[in-house]
Amino acid sequence: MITVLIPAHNEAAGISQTLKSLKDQTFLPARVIVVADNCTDATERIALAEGAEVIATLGNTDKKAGALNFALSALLPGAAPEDMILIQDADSQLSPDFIERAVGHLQADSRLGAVGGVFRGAHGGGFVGHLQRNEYARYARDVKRLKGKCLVVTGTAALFRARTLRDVVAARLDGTLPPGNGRGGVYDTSVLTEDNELSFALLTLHYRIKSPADCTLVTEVMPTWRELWAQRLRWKRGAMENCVQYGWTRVTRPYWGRQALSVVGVLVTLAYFGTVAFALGTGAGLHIQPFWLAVTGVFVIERVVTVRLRGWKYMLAAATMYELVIDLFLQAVHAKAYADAALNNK
Amino acid sequence: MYDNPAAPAAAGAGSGTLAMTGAGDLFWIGLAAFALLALGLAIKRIVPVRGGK
Repeated sequence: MITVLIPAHNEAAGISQTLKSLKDQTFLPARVIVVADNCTDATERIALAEGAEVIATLGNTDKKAGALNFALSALLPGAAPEDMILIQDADSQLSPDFIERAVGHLQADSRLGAVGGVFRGAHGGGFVGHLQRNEYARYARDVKRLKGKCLVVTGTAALFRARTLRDVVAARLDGTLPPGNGRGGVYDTSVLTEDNELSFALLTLHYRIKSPADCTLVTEVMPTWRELWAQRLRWKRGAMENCVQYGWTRVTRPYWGRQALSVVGVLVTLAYFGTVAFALGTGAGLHIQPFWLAVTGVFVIERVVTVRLRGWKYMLAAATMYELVIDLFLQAVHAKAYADAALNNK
Repeated sequence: MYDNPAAPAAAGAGSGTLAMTGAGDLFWIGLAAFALLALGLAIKRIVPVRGGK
């Protein structure tokens, strides 16, 4: 039996489409439950009209993680061990065979703790939306090349067995995992990126995680630079704090490695542009060097090849390196996240 | 979670130039080392994988 949980806080704009995508599944879930979390718009009414069950949180102050813990605490005790729970965002639409394929992956591997999705960016958002769609296309290519190996099973959509989530609860209560909300909640309400933390939790319990290329979905993109900044700052800071939370373990080593690489990347970018500005400001001038020009050529090829999923027009455009705009933007986000963490800014 | 560690170097080495600021060799060696590391990662992302489509 499969139950879908959709945490929703004022999602009237997109919940209808999300629920329709569930009705179109080749493998239909037994229950679809919208967890209405402090909604003040028409989310509940629309969800009911689309045939979903609706449960409303009571005094939840822990956002999405709190809403999910509330629903799971009611669902898990009565579930059979092999029952499955799909948790998905209210602004994400699954491809019609998502559930069928995800169930197949989960049934084929008893130690697979979670199956996530590979997402494409939805329409809209102008230039910043376009940049995110390119970014997601590159991510999809990476995951496909790695045969579903992923760093995080993201909150956009993830399928779990009930027994796996019960293992997480037990491990939180016996101290094997961080305590989360302290009351045996599946999701850690004290962190910024609860999906990242749950991925760490599953890996710590010796489960595998996977985002197979055949489990696809469409998710909203951030429509403005300001919202993208806020989203990425949360992701970056959350990922970093999850590493600190778990410490240096066999699970977190590669994640620490990526953090270190990111820090060095920020410093290198700052140093490089600092020296360019200095040279231009003092009239010392810039000197073209064939070797570095060739290195740059490889980076251009990388930009072109990796956006192949979007088609030749996008590949052609990528050769101009106009996407450096978002690369530098994300560098600034990383720098802010590290500075905030170092200064303990909230 | 969608970080591309190669991107910073693409930004850094993006213009194919080096600014002559009088900074010491060690500084440039450090920058070049990171750019070459990112170059390796970029090549890894370009090269087709076995069994990939």
